[in-house]
Amino acid sequence: MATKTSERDYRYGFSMPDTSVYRSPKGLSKKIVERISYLKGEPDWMRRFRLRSYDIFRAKKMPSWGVNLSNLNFDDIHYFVKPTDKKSNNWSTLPRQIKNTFDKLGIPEAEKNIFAGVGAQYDSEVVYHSLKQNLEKKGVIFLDTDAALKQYPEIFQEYFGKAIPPGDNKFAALNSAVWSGGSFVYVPSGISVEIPLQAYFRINSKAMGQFERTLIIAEPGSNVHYLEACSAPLYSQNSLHSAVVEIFVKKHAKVQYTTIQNWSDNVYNLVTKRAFVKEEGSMRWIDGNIGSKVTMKYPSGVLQEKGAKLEVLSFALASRNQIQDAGGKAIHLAPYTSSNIVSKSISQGGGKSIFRALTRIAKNAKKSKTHMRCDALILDNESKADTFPNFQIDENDVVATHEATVGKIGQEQLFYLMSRGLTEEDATRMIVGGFLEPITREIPLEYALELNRLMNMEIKGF
Amino acid sequence: MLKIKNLTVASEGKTIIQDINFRLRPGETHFLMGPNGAGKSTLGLAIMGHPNFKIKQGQVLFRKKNIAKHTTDQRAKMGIFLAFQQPTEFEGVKLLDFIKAGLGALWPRRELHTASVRKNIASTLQSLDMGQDFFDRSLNWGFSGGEKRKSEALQLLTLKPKLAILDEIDSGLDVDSLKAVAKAIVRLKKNSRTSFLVITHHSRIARFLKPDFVHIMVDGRIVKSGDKKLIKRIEQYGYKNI
Repeated sequence: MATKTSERDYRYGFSMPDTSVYRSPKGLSKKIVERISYLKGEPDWMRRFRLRSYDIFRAKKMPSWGVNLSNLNFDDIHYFVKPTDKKSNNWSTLPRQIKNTFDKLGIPEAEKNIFAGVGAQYDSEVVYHSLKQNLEKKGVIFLDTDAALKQYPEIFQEYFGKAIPPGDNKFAALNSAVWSGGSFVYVPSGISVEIPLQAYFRINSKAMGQFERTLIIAEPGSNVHYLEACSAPLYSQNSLHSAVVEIFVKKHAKVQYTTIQNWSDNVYNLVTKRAFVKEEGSMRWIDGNIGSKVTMKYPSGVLQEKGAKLEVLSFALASRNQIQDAGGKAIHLAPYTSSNIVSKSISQGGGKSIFRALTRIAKNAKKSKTHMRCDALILDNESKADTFPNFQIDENDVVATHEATVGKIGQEQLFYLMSRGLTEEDATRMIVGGFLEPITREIPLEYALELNRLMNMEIKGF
Repeated sequence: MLKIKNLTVASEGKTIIQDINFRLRPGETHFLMGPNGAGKSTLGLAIMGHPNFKIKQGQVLFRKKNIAKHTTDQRAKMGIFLAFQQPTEFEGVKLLDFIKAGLGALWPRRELHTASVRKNIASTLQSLDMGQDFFDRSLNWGFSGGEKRKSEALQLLTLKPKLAILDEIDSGLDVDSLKAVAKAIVRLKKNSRTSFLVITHHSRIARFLKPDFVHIMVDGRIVKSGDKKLIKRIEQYGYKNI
């Protein structure tokens, strides 16, 4: 049946000549960790934090429960590539290659039309940052994480590494040792950031590791939507993207974190994301995975106080030579908490998608509710989908529900759409679009349109 | 318009339609009647190119062209339309987007703006006694029997085919709805000179849409053809004793 195998139609695979001002030699050592900290001029506590994390990284085994990562060679990666000395809040003063890259990706254009603030990271560091003045006046902080460490050391130290300590997992330890760039967002009490903030992460270098670190603090009653996207050139050598994202959602605060991940097919994407949610707070992850060679990512929420809510809505497209291992994690520690983990995956051209999710409800987290749903759509006979839902519930007075479907596009559905003149390919795209609709409708319209365009390009049909 | 020549159709090795013949000229309306399981729906699906139904013998000629080798979407582009008896349901596919995609496929050179498409369909919706919110619902998703018929009728009226095969478009409709749907179809016939092959086992739609010919199908064969008087005889004698 599958006469065409789908190669991804990846239009972001271009690269620019290397104009970096510093590049650490391949491989990782204590010396390199020290060097990163030195170049950044960090306080001593951060240098020690990095070194401690490095030891944990070395001591921890590779995770054995998921995707086989044995082809990931830690010695074949540059851990720090400083793109420029000229960080700016003005696109036109950036080095030409870098500016051209972001122009090609449409970031300055999107900034004008859609976003309240934009951060752009190129290899290891953020090169551009902006925030609308009215938000700055209200006390909203939106900075790259390196700058935040210098400008707001107290808030920084209070939260950094508290949701995801270095010992959480091997890749969180690695990030903690070599982190660079990422976004720092602070929203004061009662402030609502109506328009989303965006960060764009671009890898340009070959055999590169990008380890951004994002920290979002939403004070009581505040509200913010942060959106991140990413891409990289297509190289034959592997790259590694291993971010850590920590979010603190205070009482009655609301945070939405949207990711549209479109790495090139040579990138290992191994990311740890966690939110701590206080009383009646609400955390929502929207997690889209289209690119990468391997993705392992399970955005999570720890519901620490009464009435806290978590939603994880994810979708994945696994094409030829791709493994998308994604899902979510909910930890209920208090009564009346609720979680909803929904995943939609599409596999085509021999790709593999895996849904992996865990809900844990602690004793005494009475009247809590959790729902897990995963739908997998397989477009041809070579492709695969697996699901691993997991519930660990220590309290009786809860409601836990689970639904799962794995299916192929039905012949009757195709026939119906084709009987109105749609080609098989267009019919397939239309069905896939409908399948993803419950998730895409939650993404800002401009982004959803871009996403649909992207999906239409990627979906090849039979 | 449509010529069925010595047609035999099988599914999974089982013959369902056996050696049937008829000819439908431009602008004509033919009724295909018969008991359940006679093979009427199969004929509609086979003309549209459903992969489960294979032409074993004979030909289906559409405007003098043998369409056996054409894919379903190509047949639609030639001007054939099938109103399904059991339309498939699509969660998340908006009815409006689907109709727009169909229009785009059938008339690739025509400019299609959602707003103008919406306006054109709006009046059609009104003629079918349907609310405007129908647009934004998922295609056939959770539709009642009557809504499904109306969704098919809406597509028919918008896509304006040369030949429309209507499979039980009258079933599951109350009297008022039937009247609205039938009237809209009659208008289409008049304005666009669409030809119709109407599959039904009720005679009531004949009150609105007058057949030029009636064919009776039993056990995969056309056992009798005639004019509309045949319908009266079916009412009197049933299919078995005609």
